Amino acid sequence: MITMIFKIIHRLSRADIIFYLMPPLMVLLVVGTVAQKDMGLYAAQHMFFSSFFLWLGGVIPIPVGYSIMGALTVCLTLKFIFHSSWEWTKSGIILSHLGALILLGGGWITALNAKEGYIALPEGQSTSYVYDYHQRSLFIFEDELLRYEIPAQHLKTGMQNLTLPFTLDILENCTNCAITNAPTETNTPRRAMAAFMQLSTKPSEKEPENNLTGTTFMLGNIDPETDGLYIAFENMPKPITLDVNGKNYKIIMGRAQRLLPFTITLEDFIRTTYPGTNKPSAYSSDVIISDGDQTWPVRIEMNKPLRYKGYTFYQSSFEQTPEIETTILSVVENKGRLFPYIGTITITLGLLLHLLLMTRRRR
Amino acid sequence: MHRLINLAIIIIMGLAGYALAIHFDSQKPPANATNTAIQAASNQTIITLKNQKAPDFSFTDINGQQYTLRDFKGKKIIINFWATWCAPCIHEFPQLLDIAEANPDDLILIALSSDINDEAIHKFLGKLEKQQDITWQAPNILIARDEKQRITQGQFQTYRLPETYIIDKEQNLHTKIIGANWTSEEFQRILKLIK
Amino acid sequence: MKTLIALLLLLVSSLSYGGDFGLIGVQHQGRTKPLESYARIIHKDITGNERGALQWLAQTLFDPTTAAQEPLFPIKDPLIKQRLSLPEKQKLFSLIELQKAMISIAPQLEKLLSDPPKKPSKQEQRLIELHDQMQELNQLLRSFSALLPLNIDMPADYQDIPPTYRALLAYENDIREQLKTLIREKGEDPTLYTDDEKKLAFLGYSLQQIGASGIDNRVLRVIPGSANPEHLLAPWEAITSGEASPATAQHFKMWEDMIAAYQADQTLPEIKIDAPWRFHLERLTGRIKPFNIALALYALALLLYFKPRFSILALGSGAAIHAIAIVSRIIILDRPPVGTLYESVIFVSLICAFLAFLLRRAPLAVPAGAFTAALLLTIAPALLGSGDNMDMLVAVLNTNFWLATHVLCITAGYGVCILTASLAHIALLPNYKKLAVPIYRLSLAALLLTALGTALGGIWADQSWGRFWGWDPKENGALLIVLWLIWLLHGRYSGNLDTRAFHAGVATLNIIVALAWFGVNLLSVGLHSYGFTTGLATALTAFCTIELIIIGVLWRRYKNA
Repeated sequence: MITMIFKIIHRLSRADIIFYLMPPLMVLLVVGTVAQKDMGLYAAQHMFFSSFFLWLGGVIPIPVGYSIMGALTVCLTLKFIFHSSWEWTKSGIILSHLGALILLGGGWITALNAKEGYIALPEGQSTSYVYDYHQRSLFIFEDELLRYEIPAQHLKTGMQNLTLPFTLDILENCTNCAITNAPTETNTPRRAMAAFMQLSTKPSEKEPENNLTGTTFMLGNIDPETDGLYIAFENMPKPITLDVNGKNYKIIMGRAQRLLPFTITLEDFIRTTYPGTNKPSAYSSDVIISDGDQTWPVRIEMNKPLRYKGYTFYQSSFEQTPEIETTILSVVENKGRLFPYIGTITITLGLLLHLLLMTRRRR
Repeated sequence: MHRLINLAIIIIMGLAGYALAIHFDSQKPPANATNTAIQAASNQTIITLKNQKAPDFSFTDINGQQYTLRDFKGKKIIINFWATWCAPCIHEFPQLLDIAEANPDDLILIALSSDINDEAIHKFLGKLEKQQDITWQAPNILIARDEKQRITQGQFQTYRLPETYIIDKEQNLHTKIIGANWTSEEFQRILKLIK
Repeated sequence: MKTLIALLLLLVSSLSYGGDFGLIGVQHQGRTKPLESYARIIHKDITGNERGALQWLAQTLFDPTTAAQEPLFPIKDPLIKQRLSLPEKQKLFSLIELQKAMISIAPQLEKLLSDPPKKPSKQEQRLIELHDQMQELNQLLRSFSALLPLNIDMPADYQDIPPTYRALLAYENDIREQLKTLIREKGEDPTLYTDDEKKLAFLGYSLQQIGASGIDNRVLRVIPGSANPEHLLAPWEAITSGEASPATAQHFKMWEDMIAAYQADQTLPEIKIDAPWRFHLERLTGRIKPFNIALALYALALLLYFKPRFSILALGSGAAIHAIAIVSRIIILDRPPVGTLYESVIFVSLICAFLAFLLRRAPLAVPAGAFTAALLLTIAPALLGSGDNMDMLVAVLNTNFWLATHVLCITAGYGVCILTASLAHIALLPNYKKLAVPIYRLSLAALLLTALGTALGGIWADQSWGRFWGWDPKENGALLIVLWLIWLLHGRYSGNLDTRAFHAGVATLNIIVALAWFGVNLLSVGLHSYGFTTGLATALTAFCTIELIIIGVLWRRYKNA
């Protein structure tokens, strides 16, 4: 049994494994890159790189990104542990393999663990919330306090099991909604914005962050004047507000949010241009961080992010209207962010060492 | 043996990367916190000038007295280019007089008019005195007509009225204000900045 | 040696014609450059060549009436000539001619400009281009209209005043008052006026016209602003914005003197100014065109194939001049040498030449290096759009540290890849087996540079956007090269690839590099698609097909040998 395992280990740590693993990875890389033109970056990434299998026709599994990378990681680890005896002549090779392993390991931590989001902050305003790029949720507030946050993909049609003084019965969800005029004749009374508009599903956008997510539902058990059909969608101009049993309820569809352990205020967004042109040369945001009783100013520039308490804030974009400038900062939490640095250094050292040793041996 | 060492290397590398990441995530205000002292709003109409000596000129004020700019070395000087036919100039004029009156000891206001003749200026000043009870007869207020815009355009390159220069005690040009779009507070702040 | 230095000095002195006029700083497309460069760029845009650019600019600025009648715009397309009813045999047309001709198609042109078709025809494209160039030239012709002497009879009252808009502006109000009185007394019919009154009316009218033409004229930025001398203003801007100050007077005076001098004898004005030495450098490189010299030397190295020592000398001196030219670009632009697609091609070309020079003992390395370097230098200009080839960078790329590390590393990697691939072609020929060693080492060096470059790119992305890797096309392209090299090296080590297959694989690296380098620009998604050039797709397909055929033929021949 043990000899069997060792045989397998030995087989998996041979160089020709890489020879066989590389072609599928290269094909995947090319297909995944070309597909981005039609599918959009995010969808192609998900389909080809950030999943284990691609189900061709829904039945045939084709191993993609995670599977191939996983096989690579396993083989590389086995090779490193079992077939790397440290000698001068081999040290360069071993070192560069270790570097590659660190890079892959860091990649796994990032892929499985990192959280991304963004903040859109107009000048002079503050926030403690990070918005998710993709995740949408249905929020139910009771007297301005959050009672429920239901992720959009968990909203199933039918009666929802919530402890609220009214019932919520979901009729239809749409990940990307088209808004059309409400039908003129209906059996159920249409309330609030549903009185003059209705939602229907349309195909998802190329970049899912541009989707308009919404839901259509029935509220019941309140009073005949309020019971009826409602709709909620992102950035709805008038959120649904109800007064039930003396309490105020708000139902909002929006992007999922995470609370930061501190507050960030935008003092000034600065856009500099090359003299005499409109071509921008740099963007930056002057922000103020308030944490507990401490407050201090920081400038976030392109290529100069702010790192604090495990969060990293990057200048990613901006919006400009005649009235106000809004900075868009992307926010990342990533515990594996140092591995690429260590891995890169190790690979470089390893390859340099190997090149040097090889030239010396020749002479 | 090398297998154990290799295993140890992987584990140590992994832990080190993780620990370092946490270590580098500062929990304190970062040392590189920039001091974003709030700067004067970059107002396009107020320009700070550098390394420019004010060109000397002589002029005769409307009372017939002769002066040159160099006579006032050691005092702050406001040179205002204006004309009675220029609406924004007339709008800002009383404010300038007020500022000059408030600093009788170390500030000189030289108001150079591009009018065609002295009468227009006298008429305007008379009206000003009557209507708004403002005096222009303080000793540090000098009003003169700039014949053929010799100074206004020839020396100071002022093509559109009004423009106002503020000159420091060493007779260097300090600030230029284009147009009448300024407030007394801004003006006072600039004056305070000048040595 | 002494004669060489003397010759060089002679060359340099013969190149400093035209005095300092061409060294005056002008701000254009975000960069302050010598007037001579500006003249070249605009002249080339309009006419397609650089000959006599400075003389042309002087005429345009100082004698606009004549300049507007000079034949300048080349129109070859007979269809356009027909549409504009222009004489068929004439090749060059003046602004005036074109303006007259354009009147007949004004409505169509207006529609074309306000609502441009998605895929304009060749004629439509050329018409839009012509229209834009004419507009720019029109602005340029009026740049100094405030300083140019008016060609009118002055009324008696204003005889002593210099007849320029700038000088007369001080009297504009007086003139207006006088005219008002005149109209009140004699009405608006000029036939009732005396001679002098007619002159006055005409002067008032002229001033008004010139003043209106100056609004928003900001093409030629040559006058230092008073707030920030680094920020240059167009003459009209200096007058209308209020940004002039006493110091501006001497600049106006300098230009007025030049106008007078030019109008007297139609030659470039002789002036002396203190130009920064990078202007001198830019003018010199603009005149001697070192990339063309390097290209010629590379071609020479190829021709001298049977005289190896001279061939090496030609390659080496070509690479030296090439390197000097790149260094002067660094000095002129004050940033690392690779920021645009064009610059990357030039840099990769140098790497190829330089490496070939280092490997000059290896068989056929010198001609291979000279060939790739020359080929790259030849295609480089095709990647330039119109305008300055020293362009400022988009904001994301505007960071010296990462440009100097990641971009240089990855482009150097491309260079090593291309030279290695060229050598691999040769190694597939019979009798060149000796190349196996340098090819192996070079492919390792290529792996080192491309892997490090790719990883540095990831680190840059981590610093700027918060993610190390995003599967962006440019990143994937770079990774593809790395994976290809890893595959080849492991295959060679494990014995799955024999020498022939390994060399064929290395030769194919050319295709992989071309796809990663240019191909991804065709996908234009993601953050990296900064340089898309039309026609790239066809060229790329052609290149890949030819390469594949060559490698295929070499493969077959190898088998037979």
